Amino acid sequence: MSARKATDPGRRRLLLAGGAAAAAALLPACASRSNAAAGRNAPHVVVIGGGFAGATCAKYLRMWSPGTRVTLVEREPAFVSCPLSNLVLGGSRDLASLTQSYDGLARHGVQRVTDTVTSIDTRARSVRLARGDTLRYDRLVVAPGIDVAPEEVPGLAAGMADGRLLHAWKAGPQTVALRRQLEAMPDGGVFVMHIPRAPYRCPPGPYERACQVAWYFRQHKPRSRVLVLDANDDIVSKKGLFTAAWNTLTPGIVEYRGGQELLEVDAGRRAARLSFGEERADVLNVIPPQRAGAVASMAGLITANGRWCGVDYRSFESVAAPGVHVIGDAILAAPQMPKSGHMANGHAKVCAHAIAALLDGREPDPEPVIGNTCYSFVTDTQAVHVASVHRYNAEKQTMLVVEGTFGVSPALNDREGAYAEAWARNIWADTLS
Amino acid sequence: MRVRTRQGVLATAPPVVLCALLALAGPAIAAGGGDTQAELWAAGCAACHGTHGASVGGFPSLAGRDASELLALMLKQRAGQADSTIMHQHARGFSESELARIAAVFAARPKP
Repeated sequence: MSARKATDPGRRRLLLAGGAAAAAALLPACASRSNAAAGRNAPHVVVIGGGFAGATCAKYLRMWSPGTRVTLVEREPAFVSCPLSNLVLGGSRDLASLTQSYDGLARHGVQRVTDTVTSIDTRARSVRLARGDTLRYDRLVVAPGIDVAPEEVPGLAAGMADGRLLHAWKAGPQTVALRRQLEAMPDGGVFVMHIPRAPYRCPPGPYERACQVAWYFRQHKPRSRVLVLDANDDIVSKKGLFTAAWNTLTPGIVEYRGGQELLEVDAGRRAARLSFGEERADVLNVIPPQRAGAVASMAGLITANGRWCGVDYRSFESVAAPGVHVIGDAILAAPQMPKSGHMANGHAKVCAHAIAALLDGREPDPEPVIGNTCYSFVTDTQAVHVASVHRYNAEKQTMLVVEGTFGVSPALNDREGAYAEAWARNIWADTLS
Repeated sequence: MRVRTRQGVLATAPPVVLCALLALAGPAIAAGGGDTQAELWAAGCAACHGTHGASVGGFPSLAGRDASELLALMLKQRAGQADSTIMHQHARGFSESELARIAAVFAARPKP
């Protein structure tokens, strides 16, 4: 769309509606914190996707703009956390412990619809759902996470389609199924994992997974090995810490090789063909290349490399479609901004804050700040962190790491495992209840 | 005076009442005394310290604590003088005056 923001009729309409939002916020019924109290004429924001980004955005939008109706569309009946899901592979957690209800969002007046989006019309400002309903919106928030793109590696899509190859890169049934493959593997076997080129969801995640599988092998299958084949030239995140974990906590189990381009997968032989030969596995786990979730392409929001959605980081409004915001793993992130749950939670707050301002006729915060914290479990109880703070730079029109904020745990330690658990409990609650 | 919406006129109200109402409209986003920018910064802390600074466990709650105590803590962390694993990194994301505004937001919240 080429309409300039100042003349965008949708935005003008919303600026006018801001008065109604303010008035509706004052109605006594508003104390009930319900969407109904926001009134029939209240602005309507539709949020697609109930992960760390979308659920947080829906909740905070209702907190910061009580006069706005908010509808969250999510196809799954419950939230399953990707963070901590590698512990299911290690055997110290089950999927139920990572599963959270969406019911808490109702207390904030978020209306939830369990359905799948089939099309989006950004001109008509409407979202069509699989069961036939059409939702009209004043602003749309798209938080679809990632989709895997197995078709980019010959043989991978076929192997995944018949269930022989599991990526387990979205926590859920695949996580449990991959754990079963590890349990069924005889001692002395080899677990081969392939990591795609960055950017992908959760930069330290694959190396944490290697730690978890190695920890399981050390306890139960000590003659087994973990072979990590990385398309990247070197370990993408927390290199010193993961290397220390492999050398000292599970010595002799993990072998790491960088610069390993995956050319073809043969699911039947559990073989990975690489630029430098072939590797056979007892359990093969290919983490596929990734791109923004399908909803993003439905709305024409993909602007970078055919994969990611460009946004204005001050509001997370799409650079391709006015009135549409994109948050979470689907965005084209600024350098050093990881695709993480913590980041997605932060995107969501900046976005909700900006939408509340725009609906109220004010400008968004000109210099938003977003922090990141990612814990990785190196055993069943020990964890290490990477953290940073990112601030919008108006001159460069991007998020930059604030000097002195980027860093990792100085060493493997016994303190941070409890913090990693506490992080999860608090961010789940901040996102969902 | 009338309140306009995209549908047209929603309601009429005496000007004095409406002005008072509109003056109150801010607090929807400004529970921390109208500093909406600091509200957004403080919301970032909520990922670990709980929504509105009310932790569900494992990290300390920040809500309802004395502003000068919170600021002093964050400045100590920022300077690398506190026994922290991660807070020195987050505290360095903000200037001293910004940290003071974040502390004020949490101080204004009810104790959990």
